[in-house]
Amino acid sequence: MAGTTKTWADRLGPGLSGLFRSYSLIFFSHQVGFGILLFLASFIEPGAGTCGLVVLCLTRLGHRLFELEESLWTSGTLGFNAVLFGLALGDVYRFDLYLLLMLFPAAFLNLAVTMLFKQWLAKYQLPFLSIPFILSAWIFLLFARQVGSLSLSDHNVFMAGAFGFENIIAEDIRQTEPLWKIYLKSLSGLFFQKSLWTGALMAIGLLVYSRIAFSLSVIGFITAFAFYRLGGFNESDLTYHYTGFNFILTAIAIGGYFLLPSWRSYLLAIACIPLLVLLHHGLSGALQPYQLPAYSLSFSLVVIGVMVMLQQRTSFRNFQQVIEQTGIPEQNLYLSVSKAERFGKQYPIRFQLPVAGEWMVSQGYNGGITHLDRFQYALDFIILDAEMRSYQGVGSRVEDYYCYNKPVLAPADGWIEIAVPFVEDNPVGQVNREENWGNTVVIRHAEGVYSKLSHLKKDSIKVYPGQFVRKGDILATVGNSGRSPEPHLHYQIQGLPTIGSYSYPYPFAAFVKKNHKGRKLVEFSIPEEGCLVANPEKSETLFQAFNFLPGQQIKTVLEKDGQTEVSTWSVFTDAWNQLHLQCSLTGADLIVQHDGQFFRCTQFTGDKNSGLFWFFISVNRVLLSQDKALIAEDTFALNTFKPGPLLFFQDFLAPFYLFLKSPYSSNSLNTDYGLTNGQASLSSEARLDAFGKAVYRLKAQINIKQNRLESIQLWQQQKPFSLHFYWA
Amino acid sequence: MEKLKYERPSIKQLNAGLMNKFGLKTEYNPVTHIDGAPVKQIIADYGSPVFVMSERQIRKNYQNALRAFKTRYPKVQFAWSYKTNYLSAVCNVFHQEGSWAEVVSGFEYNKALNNGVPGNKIIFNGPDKREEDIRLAIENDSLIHIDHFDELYFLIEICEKLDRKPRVAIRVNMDTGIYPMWDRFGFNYESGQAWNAINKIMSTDRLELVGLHSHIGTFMLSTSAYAVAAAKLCDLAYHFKLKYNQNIQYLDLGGGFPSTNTLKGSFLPGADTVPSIDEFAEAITTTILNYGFRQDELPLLMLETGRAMVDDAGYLLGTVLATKRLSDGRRATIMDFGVNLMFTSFWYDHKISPAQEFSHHTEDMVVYGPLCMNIDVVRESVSLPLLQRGDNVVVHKVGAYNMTQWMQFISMRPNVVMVDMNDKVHLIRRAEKLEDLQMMEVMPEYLEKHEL
Repeated sequence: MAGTTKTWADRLGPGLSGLFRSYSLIFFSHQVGFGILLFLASFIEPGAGTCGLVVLCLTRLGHRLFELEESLWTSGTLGFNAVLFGLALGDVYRFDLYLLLMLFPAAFLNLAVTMLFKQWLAKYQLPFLSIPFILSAWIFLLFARQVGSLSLSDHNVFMAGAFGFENIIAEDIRQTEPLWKIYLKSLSGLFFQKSLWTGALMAIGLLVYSRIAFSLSVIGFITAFAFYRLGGFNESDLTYHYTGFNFILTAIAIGGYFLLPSWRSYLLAIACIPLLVLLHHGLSGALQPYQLPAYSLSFSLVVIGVMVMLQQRTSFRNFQQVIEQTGIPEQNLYLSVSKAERFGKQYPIRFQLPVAGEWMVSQGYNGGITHLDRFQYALDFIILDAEMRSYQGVGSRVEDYYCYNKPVLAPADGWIEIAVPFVEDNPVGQVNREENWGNTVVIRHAEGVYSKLSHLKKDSIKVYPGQFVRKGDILATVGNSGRSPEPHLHYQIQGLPTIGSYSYPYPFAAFVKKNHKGRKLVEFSIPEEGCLVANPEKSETLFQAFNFLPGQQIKTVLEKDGQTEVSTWSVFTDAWNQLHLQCSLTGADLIVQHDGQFFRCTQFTGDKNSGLFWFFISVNRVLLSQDKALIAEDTFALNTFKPGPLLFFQDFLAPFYLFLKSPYSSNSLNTDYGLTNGQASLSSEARLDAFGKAVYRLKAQINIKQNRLESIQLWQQQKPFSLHFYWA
Repeated sequence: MEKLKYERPSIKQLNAGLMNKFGLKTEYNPVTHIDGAPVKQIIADYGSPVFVMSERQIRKNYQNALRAFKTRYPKVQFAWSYKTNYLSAVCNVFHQEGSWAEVVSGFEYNKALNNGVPGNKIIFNGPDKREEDIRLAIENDSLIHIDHFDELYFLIEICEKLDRKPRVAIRVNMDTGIYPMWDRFGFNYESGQAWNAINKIMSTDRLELVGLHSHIGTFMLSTSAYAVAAAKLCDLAYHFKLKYNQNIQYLDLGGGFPSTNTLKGSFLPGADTVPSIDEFAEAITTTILNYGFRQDELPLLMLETGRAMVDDAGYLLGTVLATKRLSDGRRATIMDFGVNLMFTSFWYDHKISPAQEFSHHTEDMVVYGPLCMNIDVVRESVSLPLLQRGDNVVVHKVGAYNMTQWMQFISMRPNVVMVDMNDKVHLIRRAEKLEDLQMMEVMPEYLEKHEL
């Protein structure tokens, strides 16, 4: 969806796309299409519509004149208050030459107020919403009343002004209209109109833009209606005099836009409705002496108030604020769920097991023997043979133990903080409580993240304090020094560099767990006691095949549905040092990571028919190890695939329950350690599951030759197509 | 109460000999089962003699060796030495465990292919590679280990014809301080021949040099020789990197690790004298790790261990044909197996156990095979219980080389069975029959008839 927006915008150019987004942003949408619809809807009352457009154009003029930031315009940030202001003026006054003349200062007034509020509120990370428009409108109304030369529009003449005298008319409308009509009119009221058609257009646009926003608008409105009825208030206020949209906008803003949609955010939105009623009528009353309408002031104040409170939270359990604002509640939700799933369990430092080959955890976290209290987050490693014995022969000498004198590796990059090499190894069965930890190496991986490896063999330490070691470098060998009755390796992560510091839990990034069922890849987890574990073996071929280098140009050919699409992908890094692949044909962009152990696609934007999209789907995540038993798992955000009817229904339910899932898995088709001839094959599967049943399946086979990607064969619902790579 | 078993009377000279700490213990533990399979049952089902392979022991040996290397060194690959035992079932146990194939002839090469080993996981060694074998190896992207200059030139010639660039390694021989020095295979290190070969390979763009191979001897009892060999290969790899800025992808230390069999003439039993795989692993990996390669440029360590993997997984079950007294008064026992099936009895004192209960009485004896040849001696002097015709015996540690070097001489080759992980017995090679042998013979027409 983001992709289509981009192409729309590209086609229209920044001027027009900004213009239409100024309309759609009123509903928090960044969509140009929705903006066009709203733009057209505004012209159902031609006078008001024209006024809105004129003020908007003048705003653009001011924007260019003062050389303000371009994105302020293209995103619609600057324009939506102008649209509202214009529409409001067009509603109150008859559109004539004099009004047109007055629109010039009015537009610049609105622009200045907008910029003022933007600057003032931005530093508190708060939205200015429609406050600039309200202030500008008030000033204009007061001004017009002072000079008295502007003529009121027809219906306002009839109604004797849009404010202050509503009770005269209200009787006629009261209790005559069905609920849906009031809802539609409330919507159209946002554009200062009372046309059912405007409301219907807006409602359809809202539904197409976002199911969540639409359902929130209905929920907000019905809640308000119920509250009015319950309290015995005048229900006609909802449609009349532009009250109803306050509830609609607030429900969308709190329920789905600024907060991630969830049952909590929905409840909060509903709970805000009575507050809105209170505030709106309170403010109206306060403004009555000045004959000024409250417009959407209550909405703005309530939303800003909620945001202020959210920002001062001490914990973040109840509500989740949107961090990455895409402008569409569904997308915010799906992206956030997917990011939490994909990256939520990750830790910044990717530790590997500090040993080579297959070892067993002889004492795990809180192991009961010595891993107790403040030292409970530690692991002991030993080696077992097929008979599950840790030694050969009698086991009376340390040399009998398989793990004795085996290399101890750096679990991650870091600086050697401490190296104690001189403690004698104990005979089997004896412990040295004086020098509890025995020979020990402490590595600083980051401030507050130190790894400690203990009971090492005397004089086996190869590193010195201050030295930088890379992940996998040999530090020493396993010994039997300190409080160790038989040879083993003690490993823990601690917060301080000193020997004897308290441990805390920190998982390994990835390891292979072996049991009677076979081998399995486990990520960001701590191996339990009794577990047989090993590091995944690296594959040089896969490492190189997925090692995209900035500056590379890759020619790709997508053969799908009898059509051939040739495109060149460029590899580059951006200012945040993220690696991008960009398709020259469609502009589609893929951000990838390669950390030596995994290749991973982190974000795709653009055309979902491009070869790059299919590349993204097939290699979303790849373990750079040729071991077919190890399956790399991942998920996609639900909106990754093209939207279908299922997703449409999911959108409505999304805040409460996700019946769709989009899992991904990949694995090597062969097992090959060490030496390869540059060839490898991977298979992957991407699915969309509804209630656990696959409704969409994309299978892929990735072929690598001479350490480079050669082709990807894909099967979409068993229909084959292919992507080929040509390297310069 | 069970009836006591009859044992023939024996006369034995009382000879206390010199005092020794082991005393005069002559108890023999009968071996009635191999893994969980009863010896008598195997003989009843598959006849006598019969070779028995223990799948459990093969896997255990492999896993032990793999663990010994892998817990010390990050990149290790074993390749099963076909000549040690190329019965397909045995090979496939190794392939299931992840072992590649190491072959030394076109026949072995094709056998590996037939066993389903992908071409790029076959190492082609040996001094005898025929043109058609080399072509096949190139087509299959196998690793070709060049043995001599003539082979190198020949290989280049073939590559020019085929327009292919195969991956090759050279075999290097060297002085590792052991005797005899095996200098008949490969290029010599000390004389600069190996370096010369490397440069010749690099000067043609027909071959891709990916590995260095050495195989310093067989039944090596010294671990330090491997450390020397590893260091010399590292030297070559390092200088190769300096000169050509390319990495040697693997070092192949070959085979030669001893099994726990007792060599003839050795004072103590093999199990007490030979170094364990762990000790060899320690010597080799420590040398390479300390050589100074960058961690990500460490070469893969390839091993072609044969004997140590399979010797103790093989048993030969046999039956006593006769006992007799020789002219000098010694007892002689004639078995239904001899050097035709146990080529290794020329250099090992194979351990022989009875397969049924005996009393503690023993007798020194010569163990002969069934051949009508004077050289057919299985053990020259061994103390065994009072065996009689029809008794069964188990010969230990015959898994290596016997099932490839056995002879169809006088008698035919017997059944070979494998005891699987669940103690179930599978036939893996049936006994030869007359038709099998006749099949290959061709009779000229004029010889077809005779009147006798």
